[in-house]
Amino acid sequence: MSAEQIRIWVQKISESDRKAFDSLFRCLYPRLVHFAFKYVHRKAIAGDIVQNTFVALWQKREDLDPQQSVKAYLYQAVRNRSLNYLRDHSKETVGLESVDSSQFESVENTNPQEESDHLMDLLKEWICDLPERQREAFELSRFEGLDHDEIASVMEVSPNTVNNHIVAALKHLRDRYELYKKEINEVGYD
Amino acid sequence: MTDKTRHNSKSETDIFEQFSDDERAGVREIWEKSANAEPPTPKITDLDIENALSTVHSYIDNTRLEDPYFHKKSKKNFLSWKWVAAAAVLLLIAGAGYLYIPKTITVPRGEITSVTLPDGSTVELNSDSKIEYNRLFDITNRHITLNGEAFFEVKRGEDHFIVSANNARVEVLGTKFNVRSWHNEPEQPTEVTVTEGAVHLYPAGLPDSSVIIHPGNLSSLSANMHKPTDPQPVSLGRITGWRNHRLIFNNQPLRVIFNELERRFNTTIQLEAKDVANETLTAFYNNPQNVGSVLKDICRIKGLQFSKTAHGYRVYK
Repeated sequence: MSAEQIRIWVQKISESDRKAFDSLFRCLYPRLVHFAFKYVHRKAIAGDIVQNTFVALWQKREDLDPQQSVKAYLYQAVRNRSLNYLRDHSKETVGLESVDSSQFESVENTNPQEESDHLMDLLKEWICDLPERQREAFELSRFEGLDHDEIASVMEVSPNTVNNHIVAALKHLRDRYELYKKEINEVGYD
Repeated sequence: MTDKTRHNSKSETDIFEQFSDDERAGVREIWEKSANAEPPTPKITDLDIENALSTVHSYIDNTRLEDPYFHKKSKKNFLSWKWVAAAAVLLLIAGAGYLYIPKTITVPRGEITSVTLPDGSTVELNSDSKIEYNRLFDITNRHITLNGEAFFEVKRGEDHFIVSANNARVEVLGTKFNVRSWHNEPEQPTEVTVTEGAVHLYPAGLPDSSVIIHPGNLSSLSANMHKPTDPQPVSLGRITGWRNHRLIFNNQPLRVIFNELERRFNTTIQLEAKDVANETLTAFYNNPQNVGSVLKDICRIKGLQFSKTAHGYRVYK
């Protein structure tokens, strides 16, 4: 969805337009749930967090500034609520519960070609293995499509720090990729 | 600190500029490939979105946020019109202790009753259960105290509906749920099961330790716990079977079972064989008409004897 479309919706929401609110919700809800899920690891909790964030957005609609990134605002609010949830429920085994794999999208390649499937699986693992802050910045940039200023306000750090996190993350991933290619080649010569 | 005047946002291409020439191609390749390498996330269907949106609408229309952190926010509403109105009412009839006399509803043993509260919510009360609320219910609060077992259908309202049961607090906006919490069984945890909507359960005075219970799940809290158990899936038919006069014992200690029989059949059961009080039993009766036949089964299974007394029964070895 274009940034311009979102700006128009925010303008209308600030004038109490429920239709524009619904459109923004439909557009951003799935991505924000994915984002919250990466912290809380439960679909229902992630959904609750995002829904509550949108209720709060509506309650503050008159203070919304269409020139400010509403995406940055929503991601920041969802992140804070997710971290609060983790803080308050740290004694529960949130991350350890057996997760029903049927609730996951299979991101399988329909094209059963080459070893690229395997590489994708590895790449997912490598991303998960990144240091926490690097992973956050990298995912916000790559999967949520936020620019560095937006990421900076979501993570409450400077844009420079965001840049450093992303550069470091890419270095990490590249190093592992190089190592992986070397291994493949060695196997190939046997 | 973010320096807003300094515009140093870097785009994708700037990122690649920061790598040495021989690194750049590899980094760019990783960036491209990673587009399809998002770690697993839950599937969100269109139906999920629409359901979520209607939940959001219902919260918005009630202008109140159901949120694990609402306790902090609700303080802002301290001087809302309701409090002002309540203060005025209090002044008008100052001294009338009437308001402080709680309204009590008690269900006799052997009966099951349904009552409608001033806010339109309904409560189905199991035998020998009691609820209490003050006269400002639905004016300044929706607080209710329970001793026993009850199934609540709470009307959505502006005030949070709070059930106090032993040391447990159950807090909701509008949903359906079952609470089981007897004062005379303090060693048994308070059990809360949700059939619709979502419910917060927390120990008295510790709202920050709340867990959220979703439909089909049960969480329990005993007197010595500072946090309720993680909600677990449970058979709703088993939990709410009492509403249809079923007797359902799932691995329950004999002392709990005998208490239940006493309430249901308005009788007394003297357990003289104390050593079996904690032995457990699983049993199911659809609509048992007399306690004698139930006792007969239990005693046969557990190798016990029973006989009639003036007020009820005695069970012995």
